[in-house]
Amino acid sequence: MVGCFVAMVSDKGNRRALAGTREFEEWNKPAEAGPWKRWLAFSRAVADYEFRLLLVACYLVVVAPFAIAFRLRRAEQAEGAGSSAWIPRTDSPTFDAARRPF
Amino acid sequence: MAAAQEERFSRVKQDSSFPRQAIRFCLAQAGIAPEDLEFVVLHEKPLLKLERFLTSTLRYWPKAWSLFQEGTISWMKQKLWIRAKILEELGIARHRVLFVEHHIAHAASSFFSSPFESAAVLTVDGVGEWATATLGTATSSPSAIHLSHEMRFPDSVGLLYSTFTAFLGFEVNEGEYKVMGMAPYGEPRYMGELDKVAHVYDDGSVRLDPSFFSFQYSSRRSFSGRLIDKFGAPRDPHLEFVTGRADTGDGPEELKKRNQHYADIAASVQRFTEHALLKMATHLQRTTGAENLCVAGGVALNSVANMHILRNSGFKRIFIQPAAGDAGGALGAAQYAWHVLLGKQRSFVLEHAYWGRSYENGEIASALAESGAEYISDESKLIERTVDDLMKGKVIGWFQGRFEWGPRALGNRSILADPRRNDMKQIVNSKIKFREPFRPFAPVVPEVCMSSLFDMPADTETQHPARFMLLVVPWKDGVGEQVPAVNHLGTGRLQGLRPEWNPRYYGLLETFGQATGIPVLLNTSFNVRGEPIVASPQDALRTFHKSGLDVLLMGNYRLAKGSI
Repeated sequence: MVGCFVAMVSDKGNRRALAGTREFEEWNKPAEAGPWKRWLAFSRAVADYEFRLLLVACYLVVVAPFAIAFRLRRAEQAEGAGSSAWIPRTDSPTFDAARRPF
Repeated sequence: MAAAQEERFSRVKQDSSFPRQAIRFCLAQAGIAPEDLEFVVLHEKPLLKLERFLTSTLRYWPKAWSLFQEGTISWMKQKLWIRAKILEELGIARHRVLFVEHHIAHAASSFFSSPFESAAVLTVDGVGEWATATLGTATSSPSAIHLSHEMRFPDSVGLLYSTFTAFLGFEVNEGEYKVMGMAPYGEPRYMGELDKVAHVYDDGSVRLDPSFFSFQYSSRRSFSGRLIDKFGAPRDPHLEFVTGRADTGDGPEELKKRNQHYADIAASVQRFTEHALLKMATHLQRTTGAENLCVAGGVALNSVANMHILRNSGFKRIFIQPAAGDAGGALGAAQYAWHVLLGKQRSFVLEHAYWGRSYENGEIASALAESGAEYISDESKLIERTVDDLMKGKVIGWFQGRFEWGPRALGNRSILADPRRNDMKQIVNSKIKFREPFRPFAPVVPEVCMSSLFDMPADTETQHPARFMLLVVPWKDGVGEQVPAVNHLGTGRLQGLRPEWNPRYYGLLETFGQATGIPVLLNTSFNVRGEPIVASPQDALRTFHKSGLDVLLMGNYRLAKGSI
């Protein structure tokens, strides 16, 4: 978790770069590999490992009950083969719909 | 107008990172700043994609572990925060960010770039949010896109093709062209087996048997053990491609036999895809009665299937914009917002593909400093000199004007060669592009000559996809034999050219035709295997030095290997 925190803090400075600005160009120059950079790379690797461990636990403990419920519900609504795979659809060409990411 | 893919600037093939440099170029080309933008439109609805990811995880738990792991990391790192990223990068107000469904963006990119007042619309790709293909109509007055039906994940022609692309040892989203190029070396003997893997209904819709695939639950492999049981072991990506055909080279009988098997699988998948697309288009024509068809999505880059649609579906004209794959979604999203949401009238037809960045002679000169390049100010001398080089068998790196929009090089970032030479295909494949020897090359011809060289109608307005090298057509008897380097087993994926689209390129083609009696040049993209097409003079110079190119023509500068 320490690695995670360090990686987040170290990444913060890169978040305000506006495309096309001089700052953006400067921030995107390859950095020299000093001790601080090596420490950051190490902590990122640790953070990545920790996150994957967390995901395993999440997959086995949190996702499992939802998956079982989902599959039981799906078994009740078994699909027929049918004579076409086309499904009718409707669109909503409005600004309100376009502002939604769903 | 400006349009470019990030990969051209970043030099990372299929670059999926935030397109900072492409955005910067487009804004600079228009002479505006981010705050001048009325809207920024994304070509998909990210939360619907998230829904598909979560549903697949639940449906295929516990074997969806790799999908869950990679997907969660990808969503947490980038995809979930896309709106915030846009706001942060461009500094615009939140309400100015819009989202358009993936297939609507595809449909809009084709229709609003076409010359048609109304058309039927067909979009086919791997998968968008949930949809994998859509059917519908589009009109100009009022500007509207109406997609009436869709096919949904996991039933997908694009994913079927991609799965077999991986099975045949090629990279997904990159090697589909190779499958198309490999197909003519085989016979479609596996259609019966494929029918068990995927069924095509009379209306062209497709139902996959999910037990043969693993893309629904795995981020690492797209086919299951059952597919291997049916078609044998997947092809080793490093396996040399040698068949009984002379132009693939010679090798041991065992190797030829194995490769023939894979070529037969490629032929079967290609035939299956052509059948499915043709049935979709025919069904759409019958139900809409339309004469014009706009096609989009990655599968629309299948230029052999496009020929079958154009000839046999009942549509008189079809239009496909050059970046028909996902890159073109950005164009369609912007066009949809402009025409449909804002109600602006249409006034634009995408006649050519030259919408990328150009470089002036001054920029080229500084890239070529101390290289010994020669400046040729006289246009006719430049053309004559290049034709002379071509006729001597030299291979030319041709770098002119704005780079192309889409995956094809159409004469501004091209490698050009004399197609009459028997050995030219092998030279360009092995010494210049460093790619598989079976890969075909495309011919460029003056549009007015297309019907005399190829088996196609004289009315060029009905052959629109040929402008963007999106149509494979048989050569006329006796013509293909004269240009063996661009004759792929009797066919060619041609580019038809008009002088007004690219005067210098056309001048070169015309002069070469006058000198040789056949106005055909070999045109392939200016890059080497694994790299994006060159964008800048520096990219071109680097590629020139590390490949077997003989001459580099950049703007008015000529650099030959012997002169260095």
